[in-house]
Amino acid sequence: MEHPVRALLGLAVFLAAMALVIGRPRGLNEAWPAVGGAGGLAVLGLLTPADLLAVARETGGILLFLLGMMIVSAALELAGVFAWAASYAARASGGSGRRLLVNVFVLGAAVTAALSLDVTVIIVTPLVYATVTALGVDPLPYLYACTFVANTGSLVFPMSNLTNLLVTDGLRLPFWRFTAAMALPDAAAVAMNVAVFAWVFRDRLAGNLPTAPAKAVATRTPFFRGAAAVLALSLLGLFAAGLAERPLWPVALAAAAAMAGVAVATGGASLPAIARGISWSLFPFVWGMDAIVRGVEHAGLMTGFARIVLGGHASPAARLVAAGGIAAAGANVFNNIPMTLLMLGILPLAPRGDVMALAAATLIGVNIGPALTTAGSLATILWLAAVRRRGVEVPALEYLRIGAVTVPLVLAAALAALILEGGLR
Amino acid sequence: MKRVLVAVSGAMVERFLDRVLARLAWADTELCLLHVVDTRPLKEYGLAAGGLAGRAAGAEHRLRHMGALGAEAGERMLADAEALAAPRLPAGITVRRLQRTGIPEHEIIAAAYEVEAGLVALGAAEGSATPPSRHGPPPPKPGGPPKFPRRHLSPTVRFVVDHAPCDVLLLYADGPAAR
Repeated sequence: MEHPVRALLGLAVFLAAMALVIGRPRGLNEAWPAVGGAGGLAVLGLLTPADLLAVARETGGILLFLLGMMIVSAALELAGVFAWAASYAARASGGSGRRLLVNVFVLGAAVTAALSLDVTVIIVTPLVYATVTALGVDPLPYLYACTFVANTGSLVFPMSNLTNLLVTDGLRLPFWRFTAAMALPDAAAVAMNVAVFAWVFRDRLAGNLPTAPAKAVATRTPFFRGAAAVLALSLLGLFAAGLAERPLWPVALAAAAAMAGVAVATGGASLPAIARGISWSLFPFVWGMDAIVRGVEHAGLMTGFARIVLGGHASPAARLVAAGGIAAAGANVFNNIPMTLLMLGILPLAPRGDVMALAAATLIGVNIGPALTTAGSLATILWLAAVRRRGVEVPALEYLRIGAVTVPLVLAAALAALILEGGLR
Repeated sequence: MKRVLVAVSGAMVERFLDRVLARLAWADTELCLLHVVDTRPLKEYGLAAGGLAGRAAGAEHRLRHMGALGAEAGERMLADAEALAAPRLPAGITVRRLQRTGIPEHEIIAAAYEVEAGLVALGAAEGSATPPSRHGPPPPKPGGPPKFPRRHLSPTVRFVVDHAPCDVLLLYADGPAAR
């Protein structure tokens, strides 16, 4: 155990960094408090320069992977692949509002699984909005479908969510073993989400959509075809790398290079245009957060947390529900990235045979939980309060209501699928 | 002078405006066409993007674009509605276009107060239920209370009906054609 004063100061730095990440005063980028917190813990002596280097080495593979995938997604967007998919979802609805809702779920789940929830939220959601608005249809249910399925459908592959990458990398879980465990909970979560939304929005889904054709997207351009082909090959490459239990980042970087090559060769997009799709602040944020959690560990603060999560549960099922529930709650109080890192710090303390199932339950919690308050944290509430002060009327309950109905049911469905799976094995 | 406030949405333009025009005596009346850009989808996007710590590059730009798209779609619907209405109205009737942003049901009521509307007209796009048929109710089950089919009115329509400061003309999607 560390000196209590130093441990308390470490906790204070952690909480201050979290408050800044969540509150984002004056639109402060999350990377600053993450890096600042890591610096603070280094000054306190809870992190050594060697620790900071080790964290960089450990997160390096994930960050290179994310860099590659952000380039792939940016090129796919510029090639019009996502716009085509959104308009296809509308055309394939056959004029039924309910079928369009299901199509949006399928589109969101597929994009989330293959490319990550970030792509679904940031890129696909505005395209669905544009498509639905052009039809003159109430966009509300479809937009919620996108933002929710990004969370509920992000369980299945390591690349579907940054949290999955952190856990599979941190615990050295093989790609396909992870997917085999998560496929059923993912399907259960998405199916429950669709069912709840079909009910919640039953009065808002038009029975007959206007049959006006959605604006056609040019699919015959060389850039579109080349980008679609590179996407298919990249996914095959990722699956093959997973099968061979090799790191994913070289595949992602090769895919990024191929996408950039196709963009330049076909004249479809310039490299600076693709580079604009990269969220650079992600790199210092993940590194800083990982370092902060390492510092908290060094301060001896993790053993108490581990006792709460892992100890004193009668049955294995109760342990899974506790891990999932605590992870979901934490992802709402903090952000889900620091919550994942905190859970990752204690999972290795569990009995060896339980680690995989507990990791799965944790990810179900941190991935689905954030849909409760939409933005995935108390930040939402603070943000709403701030907006109201500026005279913009936004009833906070309006946002919480849909999440409060949906998230517990989806969480229960996914955890039940996980427990059932354990029983079947 | 009477003022009629007509809430224009995508489904409204084609299906309902004809019937609004056919139902009313238009002497000394002003027609106010209102479209509301629903801000909830935009806020939901902003919140969801905001939750992706460090990964929301370009989200603000996209949000602005979405807002512009919503406003454009509204202007288009209002222009379509005016083009549909103007030739069928007696000469000298003023048509006003109003566009607001917010939660549609709140904005419709606020606009009704603001223009001192004598009537609010809006369309009820059918939900997923089987609507009541004009060919008579289904045969009652022996012994039970009569079970009439129902419509699913959207929360927007229900709110307007509950809160309107004047009469409301509600047009069902499956209602009779104007002519």
